[in-house]
Amino acid sequence: MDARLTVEGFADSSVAFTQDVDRQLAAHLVKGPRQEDLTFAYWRPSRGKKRFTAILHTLALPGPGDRELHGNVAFTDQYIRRVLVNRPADSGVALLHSHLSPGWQGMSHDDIVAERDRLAGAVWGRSQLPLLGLTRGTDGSWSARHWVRTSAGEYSRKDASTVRVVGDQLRITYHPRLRPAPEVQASQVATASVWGVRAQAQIAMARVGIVGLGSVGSIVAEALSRTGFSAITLIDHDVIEERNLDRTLGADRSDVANCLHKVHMSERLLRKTHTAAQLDLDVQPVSLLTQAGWTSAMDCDAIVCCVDRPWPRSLLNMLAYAHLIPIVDGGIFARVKSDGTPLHVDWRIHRVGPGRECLFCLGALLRSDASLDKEGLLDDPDYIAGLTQEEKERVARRNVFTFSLSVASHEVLQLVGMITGMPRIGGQAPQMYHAFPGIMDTLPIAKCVPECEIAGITAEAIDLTDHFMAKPAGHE
Amino acid sequence: MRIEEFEAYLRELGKSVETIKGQDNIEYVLVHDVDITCGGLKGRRCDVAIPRSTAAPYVAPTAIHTRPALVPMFWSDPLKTQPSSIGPGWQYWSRRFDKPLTVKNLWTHILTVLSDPKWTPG
Repeated sequence: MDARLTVEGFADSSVAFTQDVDRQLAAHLVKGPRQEDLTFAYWRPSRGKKRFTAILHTLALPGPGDRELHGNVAFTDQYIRRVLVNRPADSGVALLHSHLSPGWQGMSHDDIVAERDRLAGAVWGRSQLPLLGLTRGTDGSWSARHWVRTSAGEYSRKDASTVRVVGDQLRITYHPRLRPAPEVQASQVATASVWGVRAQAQIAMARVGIVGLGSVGSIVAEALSRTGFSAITLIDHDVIEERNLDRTLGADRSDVANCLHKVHMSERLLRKTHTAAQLDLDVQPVSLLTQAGWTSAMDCDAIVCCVDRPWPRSLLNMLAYAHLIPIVDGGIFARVKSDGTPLHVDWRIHRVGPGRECLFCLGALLRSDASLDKEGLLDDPDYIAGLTQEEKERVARRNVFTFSLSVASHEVLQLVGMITGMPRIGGQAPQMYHAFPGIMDTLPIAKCVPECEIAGITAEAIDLTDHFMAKPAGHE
Repeated sequence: MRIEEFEAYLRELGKSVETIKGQDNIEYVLVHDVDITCGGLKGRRCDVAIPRSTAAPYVAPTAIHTRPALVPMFWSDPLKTQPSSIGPGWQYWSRRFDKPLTVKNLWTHILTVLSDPKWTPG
């Protein structure tokens, strides 16, 4: 396989799987304090700009005679033969085993022999993908590595920098040398005093993307930088205009005169306001629906969706499931009376990703609105004129800065809760705020309906950029 | 759902299905000889087309296309129809689809559009 398409062509590598897969693995691998265990599994490649991720999707659990348990554990030839024969065509092979100590795990001589010498060549020969090895510690931490072919019969180890378990929480184990935990900074003492040093480190190490740097996104950006997020990706192709000044944090009239990109305005703000020891910004003054914008999004551990266009939101909805990158999303719906005064204003905040309702099942996005936007019809004045009043209000995208402050605040709280795993921060469930009478409802956490096509692509790692190349449907 | 699954489902139903390219240079799934068995157009037969995209998952279409035109061309409620860019003889029906995208739901949607009791032949 072309090196540009597999792990050796990328600066960073990671492994991701769902909380459901993690639970299956724990149920199989945890055998008490004196017995290790193993299983094989299958993974699909997911490619960002700098990061290659192995998306683990299906376990191939051992049957009778597939392994030998004697404190340590060893797989038999019949097991690996069966795993190779049954390998899905689009998938690589992973060996997962447990160790009897906590944290990121090193490899014993026996571990290396098993993966590099017994398996790496056979797996490469069958799949043209490198063997993936994972080790589970007693505290649920995961460590991972790929075995990259360097020459005929020679394989070298490339450690993953992270292993991400995606579900109610985004639980990331970091390689202690490749991604060391930063110390709490003097400017973060008050923040860390609330949620602790460990949570502050998790915040500092996760890469978070913000798609859309308008009214909500510009506030989210500064909130992240002050809170201590250090790896932030900014994606937006728009420039600052006069009409943005009442709703974009950090923008001023000179930015309008200079036609400054919104991402560069936010970049300026973040460089002034961050509290992290080092700030690692990926600034993309392009649409999400470009190769550059999309692959930068694919490098993120989580994304805050601050776009209001239905089609990009729909694509991020797909990304959350297919590539296991959870999305925090929000939306504002402001209806006005014929005299121009407020009739009804709501806003909502929610997280989508594996094990949770997608934007469609939540009712936060209509499939048909996404399709209309994809086909360019929401920019067609003739088409808009033919919409019903209710439809026109939904696509009007009315908003004021104060609404955005509330949405941004709750998005960041949901993000922090997800990354730190602390349920006492931000709320876990979808939230719906009614400006009159001023009540925040909490909706139940639910899964997608069984036939949902979005839940159906969980961990499939499909190439969603095919959608950018799709031609609009026939319409005159 | 992938478009190939939809095509396979229709073939299982005994339908003749092919890929065509419209005058707009867009590919469509063409379903031949769809019988309308109820509603105002009961007894009519037409060809039906929807855009064909192999991008996964398939994204719900905002319209269906029929040949021949079955009702008047009228770009307002309730018809929301106009000439289709597929080519002469084709009619574009603007219709939202908001159910989970399964092959059965999509085919049911198409049949439901054609079976509305309000329609009278144009």
